[in-house]
Amino acid sequence: MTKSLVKQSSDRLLFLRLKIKDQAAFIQAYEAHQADIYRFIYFKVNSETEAQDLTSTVFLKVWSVVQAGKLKGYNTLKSLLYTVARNTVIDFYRRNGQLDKVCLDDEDMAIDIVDSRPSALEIVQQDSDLKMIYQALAELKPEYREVIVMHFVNELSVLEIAQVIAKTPGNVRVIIHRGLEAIRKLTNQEKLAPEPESSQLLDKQLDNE
Amino acid sequence: MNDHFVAQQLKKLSQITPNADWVSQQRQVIKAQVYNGQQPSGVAFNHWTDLWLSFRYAFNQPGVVVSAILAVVLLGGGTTSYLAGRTAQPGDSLYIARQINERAQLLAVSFDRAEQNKLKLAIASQRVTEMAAVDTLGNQQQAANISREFKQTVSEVKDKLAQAATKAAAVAVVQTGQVMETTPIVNPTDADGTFSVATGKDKTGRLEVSQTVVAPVATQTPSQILEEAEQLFDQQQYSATIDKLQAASDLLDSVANAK
Repeated sequence: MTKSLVKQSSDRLLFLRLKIKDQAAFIQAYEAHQADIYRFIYFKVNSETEAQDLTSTVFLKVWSVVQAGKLKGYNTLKSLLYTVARNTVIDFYRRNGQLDKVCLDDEDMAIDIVDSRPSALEIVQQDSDLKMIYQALAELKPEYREVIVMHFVNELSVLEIAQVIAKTPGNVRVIIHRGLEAIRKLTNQEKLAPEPESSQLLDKQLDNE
Repeated sequence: MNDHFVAQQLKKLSQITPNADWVSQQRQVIKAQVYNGQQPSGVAFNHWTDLWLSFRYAFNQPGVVVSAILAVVLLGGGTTSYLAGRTAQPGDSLYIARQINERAQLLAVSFDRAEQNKLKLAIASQRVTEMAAVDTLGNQQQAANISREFKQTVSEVKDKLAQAATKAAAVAVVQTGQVMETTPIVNPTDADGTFSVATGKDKTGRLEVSQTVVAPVATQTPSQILEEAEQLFDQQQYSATIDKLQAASDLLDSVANAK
């Protein structure tokens, strides 16, 4: 709790310093949030390489926003970073739509784990429950997955998420509740089912590594 | 699998982090972009800048501004009332503020009986000066009120002193463990500066104890002095009343210091 408050206060100060285009503050913001933004993008694109490239793009875009002094539309550092990250991922899919890549933000398409790299997979491999949750997360509706990742993995508050996705805190709570319910259902199905396809695919990848 | 368990598992996914080599390389790229190939400026933003920015941010928040205005109004109003009330006379609109202030001061020392008595005597002195002022104006109603307050305050001090004396005597009885005279039997006729006292030490009788004593400085108790002060007040000898109140206060002080 205290740690969270300290982090919030530090973020607020960084954001204020960004408003006066402080370069050192931007570097600090990068250091503090690059892992979170990377993770947020990773769960959207499901590819380490793409996530890395997009994370770089996000921070360069943020710097250009800072330099242009266009921070008035943002309330916090997190809302700035996550909003730019979201838009960057959307742009990425718009540009690469014709390349026939798997779009995880498309609700009608199933999500296949095709480009997972050891770092994430190794973490998941160590824990069977975590593996199940990871698979369920990949099968969630993108709208739910995005909010679940922001709230439970990156520890954004409901209010912060509401600012990023431009919805009310009440709506965000509903999405979180439904997301959790969907994960529970998916994990229960997996427990009952002999071996789902996504799990087999994941195991095959792990064997290959 | 419940929500809490799912949340715990999801939290574990925060272990997914970018490759360390990539992070290191990327940091250089970002720095190059941000500093535009130049060295970082030596004039870094210091704590004063941070403080100034925080203030500026805080005073842009409506809630903070409203709270600050309220605090200024309340504190400012309170301070003004206190300052004005300190010199308010009976009949003034701020006289009530003064009385509240006096009660607040008494509350502040409610756990220190000696201090409370001294403060009450100071308040009584204040009533005497007010009485002197009201007497010259000839306001009977105010004079009656002030007189009542003065007597009430002095009476409270006397009651407290009487209670304290009774309590001290009771403690002495408990400490000796036997029934004995609460007041030592002092023989004032001893010419050699000694006194005799019944200690009630054993069943066989009274044990005489003699001890050289220094000639007492005060011949009156604080209660007696206060009674004199009340009489002087009734006789409208206000200056002498204040002197008596001061003497009683000094005596209480010396007793407290002796303890």
